[in-house]
Amino acid sequence: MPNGKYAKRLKVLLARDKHFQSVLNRAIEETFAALMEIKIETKDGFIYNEGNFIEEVALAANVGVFTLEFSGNIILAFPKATFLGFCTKLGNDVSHDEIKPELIDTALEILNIALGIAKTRLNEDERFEMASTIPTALVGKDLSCFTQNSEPIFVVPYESEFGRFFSFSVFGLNDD
Amino acid sequence: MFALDTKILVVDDTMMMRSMIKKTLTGLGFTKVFDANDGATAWPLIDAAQTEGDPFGLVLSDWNMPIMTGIELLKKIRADERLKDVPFVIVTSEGEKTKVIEAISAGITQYVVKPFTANVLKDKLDQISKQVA
Repeated sequence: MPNGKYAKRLKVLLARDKHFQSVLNRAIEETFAALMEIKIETKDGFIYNEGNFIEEVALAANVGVFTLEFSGNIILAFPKATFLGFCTKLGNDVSHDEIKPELIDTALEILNIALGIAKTRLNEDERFEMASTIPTALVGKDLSCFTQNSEPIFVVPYESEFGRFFSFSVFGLNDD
Repeated sequence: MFALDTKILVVDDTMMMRSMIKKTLTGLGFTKVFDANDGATAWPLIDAAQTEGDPFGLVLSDWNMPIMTGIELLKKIRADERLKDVPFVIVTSEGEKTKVIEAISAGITQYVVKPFTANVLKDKLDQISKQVA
């Protein structure tokens, strides 16, 4: 469980990130609805710790996000079966058994599209002044990097007909 | 609406997006849909098709791609006297007004924000048909 200092910091971060996370969740739902015509259900988020059950992640897309108040990373993380289900749905129902290199870009594109929707909404409607980096893929050993981060990680599970996947939001305050 | 035998080139570095856009176009009835995985691969295809007398009548391109971006490809096309009028649609996840204005300044014909439905793409193609008529 978080200690006192950690808990206080977390409270500040979550208050600032709550609206951002809500816009991101809607953007993820809209992305899947338009790309694959499937319904995504956003579940209650939680703070990552070793006690939480999360299916083994096989592939993740990672993007750096910068705003005036906070900066950090958003990671969209997929268990193997969930991701391959999405690829099959997106790729004219051609089934895939393994996450081959040519499929990895699909995870990056999904994150890119969802972030594009969120950015347009936040920057144009609310003058959020958010910028982001080009997404990169995390596979194999690289996947452990975000769970070893010293900042609190907020995890949001999403349910789909192909199984669960997750967003990991790792943010730090810029005025520290 | 474009004639259904219009030769169309889809340019995107993500295999699944190429596949999805091609599927959408064939679903709208188009029969000659080709693809390339970035601007550098697309350019010789566009150039050769023109030289051989079987030109592309429409290019749909992603913006952010390695080697040659969609905007760089557009500028090459617009700088070529033979190709300067080819309808060029940017298909991108960048939906902010500043990006749209940048693309319009570079000479795009239309702008489609990902993700999009078949109806959105059809509407954009109808608009282009009216623009170029």
